[in-house]
Amino acid sequence: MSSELVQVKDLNVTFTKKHGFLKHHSDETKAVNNVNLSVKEGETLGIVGESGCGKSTLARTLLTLQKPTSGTVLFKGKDIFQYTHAEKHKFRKDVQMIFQDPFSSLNPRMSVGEIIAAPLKAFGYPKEAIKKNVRTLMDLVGIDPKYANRLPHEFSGGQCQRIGIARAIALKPKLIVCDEPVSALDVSIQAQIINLLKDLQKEFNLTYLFISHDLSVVKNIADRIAVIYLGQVKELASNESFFTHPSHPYTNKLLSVIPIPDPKTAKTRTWTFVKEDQPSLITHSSGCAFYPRCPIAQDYCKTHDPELTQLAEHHDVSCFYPMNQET
Amino acid sequence: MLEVNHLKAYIDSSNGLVKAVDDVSFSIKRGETIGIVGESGSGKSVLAQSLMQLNPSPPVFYPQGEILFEGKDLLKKSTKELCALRGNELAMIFQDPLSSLNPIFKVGRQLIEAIQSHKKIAHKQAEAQALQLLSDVGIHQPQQCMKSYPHELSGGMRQRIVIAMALSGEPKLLIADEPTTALDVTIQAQILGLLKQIQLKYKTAIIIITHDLGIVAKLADRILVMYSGKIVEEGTAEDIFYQTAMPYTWSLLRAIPSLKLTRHDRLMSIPGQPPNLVSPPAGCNFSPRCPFATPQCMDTEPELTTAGDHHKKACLLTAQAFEESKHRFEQKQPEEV
Amino acid sequence: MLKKRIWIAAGILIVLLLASVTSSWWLPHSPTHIEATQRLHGISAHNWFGTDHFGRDVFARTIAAAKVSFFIGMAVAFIATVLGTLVGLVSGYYRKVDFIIMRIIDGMMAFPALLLALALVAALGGSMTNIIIALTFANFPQMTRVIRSAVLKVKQLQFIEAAVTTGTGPFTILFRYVLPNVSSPIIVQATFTFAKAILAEAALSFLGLGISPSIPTWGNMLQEAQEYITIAPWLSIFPGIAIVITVLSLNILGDGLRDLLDPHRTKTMQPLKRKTQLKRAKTESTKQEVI
Repeated sequence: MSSELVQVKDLNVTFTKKHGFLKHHSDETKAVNNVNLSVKEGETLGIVGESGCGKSTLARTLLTLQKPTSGTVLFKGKDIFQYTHAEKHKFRKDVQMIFQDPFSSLNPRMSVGEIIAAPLKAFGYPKEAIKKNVRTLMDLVGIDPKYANRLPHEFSGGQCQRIGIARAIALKPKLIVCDEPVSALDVSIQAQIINLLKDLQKEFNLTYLFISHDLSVVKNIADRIAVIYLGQVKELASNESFFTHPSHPYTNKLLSVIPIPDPKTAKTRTWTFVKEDQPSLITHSSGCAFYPRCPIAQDYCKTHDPELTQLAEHHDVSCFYPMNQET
Repeated sequence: MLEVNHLKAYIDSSNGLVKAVDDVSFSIKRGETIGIVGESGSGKSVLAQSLMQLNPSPPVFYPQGEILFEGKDLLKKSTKELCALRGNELAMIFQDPLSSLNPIFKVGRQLIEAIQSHKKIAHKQAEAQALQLLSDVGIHQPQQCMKSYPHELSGGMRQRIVIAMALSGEPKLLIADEPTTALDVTIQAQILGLLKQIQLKYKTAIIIITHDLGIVAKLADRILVMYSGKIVEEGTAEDIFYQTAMPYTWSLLRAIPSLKLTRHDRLMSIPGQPPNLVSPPAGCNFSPRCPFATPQCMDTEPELTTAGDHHKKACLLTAQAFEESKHRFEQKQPEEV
Repeated sequence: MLKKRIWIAAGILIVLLLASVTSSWWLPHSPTHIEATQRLHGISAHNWFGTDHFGRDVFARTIAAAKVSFFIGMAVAFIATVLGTLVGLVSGYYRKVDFIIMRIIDGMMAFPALLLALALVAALGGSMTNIIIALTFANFPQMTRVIRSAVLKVKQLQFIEAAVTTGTGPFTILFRYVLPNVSSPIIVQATFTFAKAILAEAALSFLGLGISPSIPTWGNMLQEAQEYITIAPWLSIFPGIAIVITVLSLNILGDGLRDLLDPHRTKTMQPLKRKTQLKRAKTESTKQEVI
């Protein structure tokens, strides 16, 4: 049984935006709202949600790039926000990130070799070892080491993403947070990167936190999937259970709108002729966050906020009226 | 209605001549939807902009070809004639709805101005029409929406307004360039539904340009697959998806992370990078990445030839050879479990 | 095209500087030699730019003055750039000190730069060092502002965050990641400051608050020339032209360097001439028609 590498407990991140003359009004946005999650060693946890649902904030918080309003994040059992300076440095070695935009995540003034060497340098590796490592890493991600002296802009998007991956695995981390790593890439390149990530996981026993808006990508890579809506985890299930018994109405909605690359199935689906969605709610006073958009909402949902509860084995959902239950 | 014959659009860039659109021909009938699918850099956006004559010239120029709209060549029209056509007969929707609206004017004013630029009608009438358009594109409170600035609205709302503006001249042809790429999937489904609804109501022909095969599978009657400035396969949606006759389309379909696959399936990836349009590879442009390429492919450029009733492909392999290669390929690489 | 522009501008500046530095060896006349019989002579083969009201050779003076102007310009540009870059980097990167630094800079910028320099020179006296101090002080707030805004822009790019997550220290981030990416505004601003300092020195000297009148500078020459503008216009025209050429060259150099230093400029391929491109496109299309 694999142990839990990361545990997120009651995490809240709230942004306060002041506005008005004298800044006397303030809006609160709960980007991360009471999130409880755990990531086991060696697994891939997929996090799915629409833009603005707080999935990127969650990722940034896990990397201590964002301070939480309340709650804790335990890495190997220790709170990452209580770290001493030395522990924090060690943590930087264990947790790495792969970014969405392959171009802006690489320093345009550094050569590709220097970019990949940067984390090794930061941890004081000797010069010879760095050189050797960079070459191996470049080979590993499928970039010819003879291009080490080139600048990032001479590479295509997919190649830049490979360079970003090489940098992320340079320190042999335990956990890699992938923030939409393939959404800026073309379909043919997407597949290359997904396959590369899977291969590297097998080879180095990596743990991934894979953030994406694309359920079909997540289905292909994740062991477990969490659906996030307005900062809350709405459904959390193993890959198999998630797609065979999608229980939350929001999950069902997401699944029903994925464009299917198959004309027969696609054309049997009805068109969504719905009117526009309600504008995003900055503060919802009470009740389920999904209530205004929910097709099966009851009056009860308006006043009561559901909690994430276990529905079946490896399947938690936060809804009073879950659909498609396992029998 | 619209006919494109042997169109070439080249870009004069500092790196050399970019053959963004290279000998493309197709036509579209009234009320039809055509999907143009391609990866970034395949020239699909330049093609769309050529149809509207929106490409800045220079650097873009057209060494060959014609774009016949209702029998008249758009390439030969004066700026004044083009202005009269744009918006009235031809309209375009762009990828980013925020940058296609003017941020300093209210939505209502922009919409009314768009209507008045097509028809000489009083402000009151134009306003009534604007309200009607907004409710046509599925906006709940058109009155309130008219009074908002673009930044106050969500991405989906903005795209609806952009569509309303495009519809204001009741165009015969609507060109949508990646209309949903910047939007969430739930909103994307709504916008696509809206486009379909509009087509049924106004009998508009739609050209939808996208990199997402899932979108065209649902929306398009016919699909053109573009690769490095050329059309490599053309056919009905069923032809493209079920009777694929061309290795690029075939690889692309297998590279999509579809919901049908499980996490243990390995996606088929297309090796290498899309070709450089300044100095494309010799022979078939796809040959360096093609799993079935023969020595012949490396030096002979394939032409678009018939592969079925309305189905065309640009590939040197015969249908039989293609089937055999596919078969061999699948045996060689059994699905990983 | 771009390279040509830079080379021309740099060439003019270098020739002017070299001519000025070596002037004591090759000039036919001494810039300070007074020839009482040759007062206010026009342009001639003997005095190329004419002579001034003391009979001194204007050509010799114009060339010799370049030395002073260049020295002041370079010194001011260098000190203001180093200072402005350091303060701008710190201010842009560390939000905590930013507020305080920026309010001080705002206060300094509330004075017109030239007026500030004028007041300082009036208070400190008109030596070369004081002029350099005064002009540095007048020019560095703007430098700081420009660098700070460039830093703010670079700071939110993802590669900075990527560097943080790979354990890179703040010092390395500031000098290896941020600084190289703000180098183009720094260089542009430095050349503009150079040009501005030359102009400001001329203006200060023109107002009589500059370097002592015994040393030829363009500003001093203009100041002395104003009395004779109607009868001896060459006195003001030639130093004026020298200022214009120098400042123009500096501005062109600054603009050119900015474009040249852009990492996205590809160095590998040279653009073809438009005509050759069209020709190629045409021959290709005819080729295909034949086939």
